[in-house]
Amino acid sequence: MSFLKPGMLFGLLAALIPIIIHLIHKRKPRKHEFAAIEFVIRSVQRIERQWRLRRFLLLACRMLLIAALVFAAAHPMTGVKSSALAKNKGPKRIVMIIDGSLSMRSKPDGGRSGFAEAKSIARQIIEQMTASDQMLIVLAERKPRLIVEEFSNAKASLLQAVTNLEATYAAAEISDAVNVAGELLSTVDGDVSQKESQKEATETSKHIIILSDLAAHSFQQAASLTPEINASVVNVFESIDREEFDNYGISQLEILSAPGSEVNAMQARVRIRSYVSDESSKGTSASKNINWVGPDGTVAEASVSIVGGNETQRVLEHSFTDQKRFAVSVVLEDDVLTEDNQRFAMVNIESRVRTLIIDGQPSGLPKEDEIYYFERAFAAGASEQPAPKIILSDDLQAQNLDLFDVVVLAGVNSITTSDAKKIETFVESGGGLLISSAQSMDIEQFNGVFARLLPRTYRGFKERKALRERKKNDDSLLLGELNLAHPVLSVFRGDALQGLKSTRTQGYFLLQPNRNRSADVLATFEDGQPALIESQIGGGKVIVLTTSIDRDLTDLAIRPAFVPLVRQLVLYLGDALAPPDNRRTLIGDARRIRVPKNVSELEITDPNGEIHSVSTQLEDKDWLFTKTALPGYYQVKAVTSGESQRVAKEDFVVNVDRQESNLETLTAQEAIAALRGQDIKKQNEIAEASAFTWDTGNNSDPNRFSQWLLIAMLCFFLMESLLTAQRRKSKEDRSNTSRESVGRI
Amino acid sequence: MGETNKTNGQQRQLNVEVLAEIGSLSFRARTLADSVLHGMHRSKHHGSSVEFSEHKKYSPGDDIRHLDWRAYARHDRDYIKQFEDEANLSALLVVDVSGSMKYRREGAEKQLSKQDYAMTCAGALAYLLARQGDAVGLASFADEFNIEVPSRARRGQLQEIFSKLEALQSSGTTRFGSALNQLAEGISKRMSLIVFSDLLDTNSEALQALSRVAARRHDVTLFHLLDPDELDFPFEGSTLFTDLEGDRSVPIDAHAIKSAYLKEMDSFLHDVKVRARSARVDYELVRTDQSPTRLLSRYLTIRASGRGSLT
Repeated sequence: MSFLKPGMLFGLLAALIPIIIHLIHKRKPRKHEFAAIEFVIRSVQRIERQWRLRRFLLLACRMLLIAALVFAAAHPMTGVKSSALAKNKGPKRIVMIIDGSLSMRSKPDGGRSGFAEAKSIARQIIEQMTASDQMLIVLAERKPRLIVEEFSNAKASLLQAVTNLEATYAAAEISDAVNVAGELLSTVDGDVSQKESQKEATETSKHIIILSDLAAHSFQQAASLTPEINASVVNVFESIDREEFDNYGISQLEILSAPGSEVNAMQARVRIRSYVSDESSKGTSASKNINWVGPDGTVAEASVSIVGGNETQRVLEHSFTDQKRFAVSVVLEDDVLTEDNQRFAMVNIESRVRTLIIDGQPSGLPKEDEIYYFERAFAAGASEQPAPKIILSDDLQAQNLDLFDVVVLAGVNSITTSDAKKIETFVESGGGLLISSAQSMDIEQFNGVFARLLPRTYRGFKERKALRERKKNDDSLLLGELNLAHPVLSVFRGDALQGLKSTRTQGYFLLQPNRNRSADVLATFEDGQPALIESQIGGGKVIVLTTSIDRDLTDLAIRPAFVPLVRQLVLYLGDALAPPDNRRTLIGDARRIRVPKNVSELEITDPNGEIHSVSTQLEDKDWLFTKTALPGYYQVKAVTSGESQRVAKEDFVVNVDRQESNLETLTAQEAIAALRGQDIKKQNEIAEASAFTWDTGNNSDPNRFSQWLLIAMLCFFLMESLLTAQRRKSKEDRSNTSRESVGRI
Repeated sequence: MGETNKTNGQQRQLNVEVLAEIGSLSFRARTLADSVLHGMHRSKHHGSSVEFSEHKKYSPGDDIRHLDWRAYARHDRDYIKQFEDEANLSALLVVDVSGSMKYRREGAEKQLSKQDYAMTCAGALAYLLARQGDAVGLASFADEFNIEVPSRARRGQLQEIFSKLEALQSSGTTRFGSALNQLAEGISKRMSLIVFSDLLDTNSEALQALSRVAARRHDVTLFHLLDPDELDFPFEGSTLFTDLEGDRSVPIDAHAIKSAYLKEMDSFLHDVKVRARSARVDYELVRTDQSPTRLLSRYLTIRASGRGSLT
């Protein structure tokens, strides 16, 4: 017999309480001289036997009642009677599969976890092995793992192996483990035929015993075994009520920029799902607390109301400081499965671009204002970015440019020397500058104040009239060559590229052919004149669009390509064009890590602080890390010439598979049907001839045992009540007798 | 005769607690007697003889028919004439002084032990009877029967009875049966026997002896004194009961035997009552926490009215 909560058995000591009370009362009788002792003696003689018997029964009832209560609280489970094992008296080869998936960590009823229970049952099965039996243990996790390498009869080592086992955080497919077990048993068959006599080999029966919580998601695929293998399924939670498996888990966590707020303001979008096993729990609402935990502790809290069986979303906001890239998690209040109540995500503030737009030609009519188009393109194409700040050119002097990553001069006609100097300093210190030209701009003044910044100085304006003279059918100018290798334009492919190229322009600025300055032409017009040109100044970049963003000179602003173009320009100038790492890593997934060249080794620190060295380098220069066994934050360091250096952009988080949150279980019969490849709703179908035989070697009817225990408790209680009532009645009789005596006198 | 003095319809009674606080037996008995007398109009008995014997100062309750008017005229004081053979009642107060009569619950200082109760009642009765000129004597018994003061009606009789009562000590075991046999054989004159005992005698010959005494035409009145503890058995928990008269002891859960004990006691009381009735013995069960005033008044009233039974 095993117990789900063996610790409760210490409560059996409480059964001694009635004896202790009895002894305390018996130990010190008070001495009393009494005249009518003759009646006392006669009374004792009269009731002694009956009284002793009643006393003994009362004591026994109370002790047994306490003992039964303690037993019930300890959740007794009678020994495993794997009937497949019991039926075969001869030598047996057994592969015991222990489900090591995350759901086995659940603790329904607040007691032992399913994995602890599985280990307890496994020990019982090992103890039941005879001298001729041999066993091998497989842990079913993401990939089935052999716990004992060879079939063994050494109970001590098998027991030790079971004791050392720990549940994983991964999802598991039981059929994979069953297939592995089948192969192992088949392999042994071959060995046996070589080493032992044929007769002995045929007498040896083969068994697979599966110890699992029978979570439905672990029985998704059919297994294939040969008919001579007997397999048993043991539900480690058979005695637990279904409502005990109601679980809540975080199914999704996304960290996004908080729109329209400060730069470091982030949003955590959390989706919480209620998994109810009991139909009666569906539709009932429950309130749960969630905490958003940052590097320095909890940053936001909320309470979420979840309807049973449904999913709900909650958005938390917080503005972080200092760090650029770090891990956060959202924690849900504890329930039956603790491990799925925390989900991790990376926060990447580094990729956020703060943009300042200087409106050179504000207009009362929005569609005549460059800002109108720019804002909308920005909102559509770079919504994850903080909203740009818009000022007039007159306000530039008062603006602190250190607060921004990119400055856009949108249709600015002229600029003061001091403002130009300020912008120049900004660019040299690493900022990005985008200049969209305006038809009325003072190019002489621009060439003067931006002599260092402009990739090439302005030469003059070329307008539609001139074009019309040259091209009679169409007075618009399309784009010519595009440097698709450039990060800004590399995203344009196919129709998007054609859409961009078909931009019609009626006027643009010609640039001086300055050979002394290095400048990259990103795009040209059909006539070969630069349309988009870039130069690197100090630590920053400057890109000049030789035409306007509004519709005075071009239809670029109303083309679909305008939205990604604005996004690419802003992100490129803000050094944030590298795509965000949206890869999601679950427990057991291999993680590709991209690190700079000349790295000889990687060091990865797991959530427990353990450092793993990675030396497996893939052909495409990526590194492959496979030890993602724990949920949490993994820090990456690259080792170059003996020195390790953080590669923060490659840090990552690992989460548990959300399907493990669903603790809905199958019955043993349904699990068998699933492994046979049958519809679990039609489990009573006759198995095909090729199907292997199954047996539900469950714990021997713990429900019935509980019923007996309940009946026993009821009997003890009734008996105790009866005896106590008799005592009470005799008390009342005595008091009545006393009153009668007084009355007579 | 036969009338009682009532105050607001209730007979005035003396509380046991008040009696217990009085140290002197004679004073306690007199107090009790006064309390009884308070309810009487006149003396119950008067002598049948007319031969003058002596004068006695008048006291309330005396029959005014015996006032000596001449003496009153001569001395201006009330004197009662007493006659030689006035006492037609000869009473013997028989007190059980066995060890069991000492019982009083521990700590119950305001209670009288059965023996104190018996001696107080005996003293009061002696006072009342002697005061009426009846012959009264005192006897005690435990292992054996002793006539402490022979029954007489003379001066100093009361004092002697009181001094003997105060000298009585409880000891030994009750041999009520043999004691009464001795008594029955030793008394030839018809007399009234007033017995105070708890009857916790192990054999059943006590009442047989009483019936033998009654058969000799003696008036026998039995005051069966029992402590409230003996009647109600109010004990709880593990208790070691020890004997007051011997060396027996019984360790037991008092709670467990209470029911059986009360049944035994009921059976005993019923048996005593039936036997007393059949032996024509006036029987009265007395709880020692009850006031003796009413008891004595009733006794005197019934005795005076000539009825044979208290109950």
